[in-house]
Amino acid sequence: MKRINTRGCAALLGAAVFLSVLSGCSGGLVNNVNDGTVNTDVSQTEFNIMGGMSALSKGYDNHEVLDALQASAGIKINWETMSDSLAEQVNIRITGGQLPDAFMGVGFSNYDLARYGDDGTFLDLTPYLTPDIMPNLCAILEEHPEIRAAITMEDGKIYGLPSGEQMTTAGIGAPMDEAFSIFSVPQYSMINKAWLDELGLEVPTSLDELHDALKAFKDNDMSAKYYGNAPGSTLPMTTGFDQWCWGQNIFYSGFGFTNWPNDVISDIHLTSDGKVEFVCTTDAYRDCITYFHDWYAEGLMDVEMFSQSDSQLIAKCQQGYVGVSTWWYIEELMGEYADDYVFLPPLTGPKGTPYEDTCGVTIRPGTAISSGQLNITNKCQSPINLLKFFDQWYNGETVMQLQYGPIGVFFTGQDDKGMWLSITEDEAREKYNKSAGELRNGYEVFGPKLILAEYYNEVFYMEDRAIERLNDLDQFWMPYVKDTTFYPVDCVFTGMEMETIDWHKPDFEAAVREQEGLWLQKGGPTDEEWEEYKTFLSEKCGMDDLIQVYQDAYDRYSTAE
Amino acid sequence: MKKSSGMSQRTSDIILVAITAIVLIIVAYPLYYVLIASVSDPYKVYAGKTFLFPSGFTLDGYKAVFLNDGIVSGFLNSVKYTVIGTVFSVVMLYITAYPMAQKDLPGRKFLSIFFLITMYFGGGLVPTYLVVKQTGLVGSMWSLFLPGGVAVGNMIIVRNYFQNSIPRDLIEASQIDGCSKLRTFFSVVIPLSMPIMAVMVVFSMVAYWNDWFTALIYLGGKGSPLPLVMRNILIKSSATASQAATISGGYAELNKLTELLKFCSMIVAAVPMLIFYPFVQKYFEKGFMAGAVKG
Repeated sequence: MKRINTRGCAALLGAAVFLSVLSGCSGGLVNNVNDGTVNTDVSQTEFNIMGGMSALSKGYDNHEVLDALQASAGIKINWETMSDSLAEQVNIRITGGQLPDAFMGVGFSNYDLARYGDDGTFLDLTPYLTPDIMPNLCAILEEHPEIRAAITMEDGKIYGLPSGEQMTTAGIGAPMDEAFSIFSVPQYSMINKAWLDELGLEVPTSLDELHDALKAFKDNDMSAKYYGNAPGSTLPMTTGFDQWCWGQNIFYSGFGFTNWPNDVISDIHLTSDGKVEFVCTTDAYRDCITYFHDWYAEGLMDVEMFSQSDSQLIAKCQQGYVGVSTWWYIEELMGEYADDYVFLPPLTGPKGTPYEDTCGVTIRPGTAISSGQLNITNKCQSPINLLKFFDQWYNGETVMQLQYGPIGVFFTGQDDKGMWLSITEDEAREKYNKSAGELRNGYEVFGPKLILAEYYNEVFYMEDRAIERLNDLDQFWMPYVKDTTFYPVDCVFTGMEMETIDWHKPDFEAAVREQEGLWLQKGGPTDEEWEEYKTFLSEKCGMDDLIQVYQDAYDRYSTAE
Repeated sequence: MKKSSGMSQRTSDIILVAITAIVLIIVAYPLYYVLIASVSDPYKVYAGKTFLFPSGFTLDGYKAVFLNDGIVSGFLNSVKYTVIGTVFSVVMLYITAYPMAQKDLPGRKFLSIFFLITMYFGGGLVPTYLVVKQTGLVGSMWSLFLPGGVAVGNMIIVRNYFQNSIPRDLIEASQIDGCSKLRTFFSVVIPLSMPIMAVMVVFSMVAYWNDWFTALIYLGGKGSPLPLVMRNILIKSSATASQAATISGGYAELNKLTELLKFCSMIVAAVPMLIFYPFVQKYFEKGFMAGAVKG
């Protein structure tokens, strides 16, 4: 209750983060690090690695694949892995100066990497990236200069090995240079076709038509009438608010944009001529919010959309209360009612407005290539030995086994094209008494896994559900995307730029989100409120600085290309 | 009660019982709700379909909790930490608060301020961790008790109790009868302070029983107490849900178990406390002072 050292865990955590920012590296440097030379010592053959693992992992000791890799590199690794509270434990270790030889699967941000690189905690790997030491990785970097660019800090140093999963439409046959990430359009909207048929309506193609359909759902209390639920239980439309695959953002397409939550910063938009802007200050955005407030006021949008969790959304949908919602798969969200639903395409804007023929879905950037999954510290005496171990990871067949499970367990054989076949659901049940997913979770290793798009054509097949989603993306959703420019998630920022982003981004995102919610609920901005809002974002949330930073980084990125 | 007061004994009884009954329902219903939710289909619970009876009876949540290997050892660990921690904390409280209650203690004012400061300023997680590490306590059970063994807020309550509720006259009487200072403490002060001791036992007990954060930071995954084991079961379950969700589907079904586990772990963690509480409760009511001092 009142024990002083446990009061306010949150406050303590905050303090921990803050303190770790302040104190940086303590403990003496073992190596003369980061002066651009190779440490040729090869005496150390036993390494301590600390890092994250899946909560479902059986651990990395006696892991078939990792053991084989250690044997062939002639080293031994003592694993210290954990599945939760990783960030706190890592912070404690770095601040306390008790470093392992390397961190694996921690996921340091570029901001962390720059900080720990500058103070000498992490080793600069640039001089080690030679065909002698890392032949596999060098071959990949040779072929994909964009991966090298993504992991290179602004000062030209590389503090970690690359990782990333390029799950794109290339895996289902699109040409490599026109491939889109599986995350390009995250929200698939859907509508209850059975209700539409009952009411004699067509699947809407414009916001006006959708509005009328929702109104009809509500007026006729379709949930009660068609599914026999309690009177008044109909929710014409329910989604989350700015949520990943279950947000409202897809419906904004009628106004020419979809401000997906994304890994760069909310509401960022890159015009086709390379100019960075924030959609949340455009007139289209203002008109859009004003328009949807009317829907909210008419009771067409769920009042709980701002607060509900995904579990609550699923609960409502699986009771048959809902007319329109968003999710990746219809079956998953709608449960036993799934057959009654069809995808609702992105809609055109309201009639009698400039948006009448507008339908613009913006693309969301995919996931970045990260260099925060394997970082060698200054404690490590023989980085060469450790890097030779990790170089083996940059091979299709190896990384496939680290991602899914060993050949002989998860992968059962090769077909005539030489592609590895994974275990089927039935075989997994029969042989291991587990689902294929559980089997995979037991073996998956978190670390510098670089799964290139071409592996899905040359080494192993993508999972069925991923293929299904990519097909939906490619055939149903992408045709609505008129402009495929998006802000590249691999842009590299300078230290100063990262400071600016780190300082302003949380405030900016929170302010925009809060204001959008308020306007949707209480009614769109008056001219005065709109000006005030823009001034607030510029003066208090650093919007102008942010635009400048993102623009500069993009300009450097595009000239380098 | 005189008749002129306008209300018969009976009527006032009825009103009082009615008020208590309402309060009882307000307090007990949320507990009851968690209980029935722990055996219901969570999506029906979230859709607002559960009110008095479970909707769609299932024991999957409890099955997942009790099939976990860690649950028994977690329970035993928790009992161990709670018993040792409570005894330790209460002893520390008494031997700190009693001297502080003596008006003739040298440096009393300084000590008060010294203790008070620790209530407002803490070292923060990392410095505290470093201290614990350098004293060699990391990984040992004592890291849970020794730092923060004296809860200053509680110490002040106990001190005030000693000062205000134990009559000076009684202490003096015992000294006239020939008690030494120690004898006074053991034979007079401790028996007279049973109510406050019961309060302190409950406070510390609940705190140690619910504490998972200290164990998480200092024990390094060995000898986890029950709440930490529960938390891991929950994390494991939600990890299954979210990993499967990213690519391979099946999220809705897996997420169901996660939601169910939240309710089940609440019940499993709360039941031992609910059972134990009535045994301590009787000390709250007794009036120890009745008739001790004349005049």
